[in-house]
Amino acid sequence: MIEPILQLENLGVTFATHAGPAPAVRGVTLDVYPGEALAVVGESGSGKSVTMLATLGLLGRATVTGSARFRGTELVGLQPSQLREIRGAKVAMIFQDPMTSLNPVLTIGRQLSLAMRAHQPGMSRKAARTRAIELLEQVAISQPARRCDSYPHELSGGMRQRVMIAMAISNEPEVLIADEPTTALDVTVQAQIMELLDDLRREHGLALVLITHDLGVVAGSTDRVAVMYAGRIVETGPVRPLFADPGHPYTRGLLECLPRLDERHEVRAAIPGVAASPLSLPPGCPFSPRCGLAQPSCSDAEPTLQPHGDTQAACFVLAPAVVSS
Amino acid sequence: MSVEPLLRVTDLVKEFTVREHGRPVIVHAVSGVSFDVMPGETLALVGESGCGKSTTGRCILRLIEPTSGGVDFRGTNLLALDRKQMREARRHLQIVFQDPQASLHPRLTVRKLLSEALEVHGVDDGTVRSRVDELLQLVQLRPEHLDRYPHEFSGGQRQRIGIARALAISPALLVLDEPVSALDVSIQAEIMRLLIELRARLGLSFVFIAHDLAVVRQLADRVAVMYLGKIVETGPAEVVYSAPQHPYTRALLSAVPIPDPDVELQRKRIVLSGELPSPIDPPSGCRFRTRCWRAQARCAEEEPVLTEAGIAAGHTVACHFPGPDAG
Amino acid sequence: MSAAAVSTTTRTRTPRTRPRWLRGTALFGVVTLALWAIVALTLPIWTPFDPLEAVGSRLQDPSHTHWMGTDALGRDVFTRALWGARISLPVALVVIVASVLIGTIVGAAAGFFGGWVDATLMRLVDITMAFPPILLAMAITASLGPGIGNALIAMVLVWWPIYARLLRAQVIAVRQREYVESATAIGASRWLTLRRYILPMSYTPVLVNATMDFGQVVLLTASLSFIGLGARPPSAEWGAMMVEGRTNFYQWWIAAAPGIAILLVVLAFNFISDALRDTFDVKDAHT
Repeated sequence: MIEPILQLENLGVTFATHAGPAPAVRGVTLDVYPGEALAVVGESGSGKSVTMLATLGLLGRATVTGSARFRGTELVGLQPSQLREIRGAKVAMIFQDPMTSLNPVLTIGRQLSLAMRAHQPGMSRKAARTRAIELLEQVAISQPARRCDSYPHELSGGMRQRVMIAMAISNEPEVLIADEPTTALDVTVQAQIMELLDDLRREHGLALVLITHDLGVVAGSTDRVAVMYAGRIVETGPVRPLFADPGHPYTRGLLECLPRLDERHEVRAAIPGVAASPLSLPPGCPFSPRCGLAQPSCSDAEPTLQPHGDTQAACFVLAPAVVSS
Repeated sequence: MSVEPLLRVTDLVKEFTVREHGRPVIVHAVSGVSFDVMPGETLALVGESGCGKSTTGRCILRLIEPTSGGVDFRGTNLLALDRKQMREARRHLQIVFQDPQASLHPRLTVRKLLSEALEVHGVDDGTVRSRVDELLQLVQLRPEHLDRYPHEFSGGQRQRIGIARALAISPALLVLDEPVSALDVSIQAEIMRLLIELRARLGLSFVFIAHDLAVVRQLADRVAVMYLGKIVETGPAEVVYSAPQHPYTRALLSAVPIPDPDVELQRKRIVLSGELPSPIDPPSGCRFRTRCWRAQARCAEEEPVLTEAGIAAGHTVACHFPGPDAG
Repeated sequence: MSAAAVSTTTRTRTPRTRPRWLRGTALFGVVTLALWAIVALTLPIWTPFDPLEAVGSRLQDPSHTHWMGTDALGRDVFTRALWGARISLPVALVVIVASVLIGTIVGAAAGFFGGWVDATLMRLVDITMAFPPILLAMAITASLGPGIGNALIAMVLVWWPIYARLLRAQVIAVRQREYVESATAIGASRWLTLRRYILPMSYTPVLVNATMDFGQVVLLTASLSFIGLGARPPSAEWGAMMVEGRTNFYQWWIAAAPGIAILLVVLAFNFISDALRDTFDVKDAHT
């Protein structure tokens, strides 16, 4: 059995707000295996980004409970100095808006260099620059030597995102977490970036955790999917069974409301209502107020993940708990 | 017997002057765009960032003043109207903006937001009141929403308010600038549905500006694909989707992900090389040639013009080597 | 229509809570100012002594009868300090209101019309602002003649450019916002756009600054009087009182009383403007 490289177990994140505690993540258990491409899917407020930020200790003031282990090392509550050794080196992360995640006053070359020398203190400036140029080539940036001396604002969105990816892989990580890496980019640029991530994943044996709301990207680029709603995973499984026969009404709803390029459905079904907010979660299953299949008993308790064909779904109706006699 | 177009745009050009390193440079945002919109028709202007589609939309309404070109609405040249006449003309052409949060005045109530256009155009109070009630119903909002402020609503609701506001004085043409891009996927479907319903009910014509080709397919009659300030292909929606002739259209369509793993596995994706050139210094001849896998010497020397593609009526493409890939 | 009914649930507004310590100082500011205002308005009715008459022996130490002692002419210092408010507060009010009015008109015109209107008006602003305020106020007062009225005019002339600049910057920023575009789109006239869309969303920095500037005007008034260009003796004005305090240095109470008065007023305005700024930061987060 292959051991998962990253293991989240019952991870919880609560923010203290003026209106009371907001449980953005409520018990997420997730495994990431080496070399796989896992998608974490959800809309705004589902907790998908917060989960990964918490895993890497990137949240400011929040209470993190549960466990997140990288190769057995517990990350939650880890000493900052030890966390820094893993973060950026073994587990790297790239974000949605490359303009705000790159330092505007430093050149690209300098930022790449800093990223590398932070984890490889013995590296000389010259060696770092050479390596930086190599990395920029790897991410298909033309004229890499010239680009090293450019500032972020001189590059397009797509190029900046490639620089982010270059920085992320510079220390040969084992896991790359990409938080909505292409949401702010045009679709042709998105195709370029996704292809790049795919190539890098294969070449370096990297595990990719792709956080996104775009099910189209998920269908084309990932092996396994975890769907999140209101801070919990409501469905998870390999990509094809999940798309072919979703076990959770939310997943179904998402798939049904998506316009497809290859079909002309004039009227798509929509998911009624608004996404559940962490500050005012409905009783029982948080999706029940918006669910077409909801029964009165759905408000009594929150469902847990149960088998549904080849996937696992948290729904009393579609994936009832198997009662062993 | 031919029907006159509701809107006719001819050779629209917009150039912005900006300062780069202290010297003024010209950004060629829109470089000669022409199209017609027939009554009741939906024309989609599609393209990625920097193609000039939003600028075109705003130029049509003179929210940005075009540098040159013609914008004729029902035969009247909008660009020749003075300030007062243009205000009058605005009764017939309205816009729905992309960002429902930024496009509604935060200190006006919904009631005011909806009634304002009517008041500005001199409609009497009694009619205003009943019209506002009508508008609420049209976009499926409730009377108790009238005294609330925009920030009290969700994104989808705000967009409904924006749509109602645009429809208040019963325009014939609506320019929709990426009306669902800023919304969550599950809300997008709701709003699209609303737009389709309203279009049928009120006999509206749309200029639908978007970058999401899958969304556009739901309601476009005709599609015009833009790249770096120019239209590269235009035609009936179904023809453009099923038989795209321009390499950029082909690349664009192939880049749109389809939420179906089996389909995705089969697809051959065209991944463009290189980056979008700067609109300050667009490539000579065909602007797409720097990223086109079919580019030849001719493409740098001679700019292609929109010509009949020979597939269906009204389908034109601006390319020296249009058509499907060989082999 | 059930889909519609469900989809239009409104989110409840989360109440804004101000940090507690700030509520304290703002409260202090408001209360202090309110007290001063009441004093200024009602003083003639209950004044402990006549501020202009000698009511005791000269240069007396503070005592039960004379809380802040008496000055060189035997007048009660405490009473005079209270009477100072009747000059400084109204003067500050008039100066601020007039400056804001002039500044708003100039700034809005410059920001809204742009082009040569903007260029001309801003050159005017630049020229006025190039002079150190006190120097300019002195020059104007000196040419118009001393007296509190002329000092007021001088202060308005010195103060309005600040608001012009502030408002112009805001107008230029707000003008580009999408909701202003939507005003044009529905056919609103330029005047309506300015009146309903641009100005109401531009005034908050001006308001915050104006509140803070109240205190500064009080100080400037006192300074002008201190150098003999504002209020003339025998009027009980804080700055003028400080001149006496300087002459009679060892009778510390003569300078202390107006000094404390100025301190309280300026502090009050500063606290209020801080609280205003924080309130507007939260509210404008919605824009």
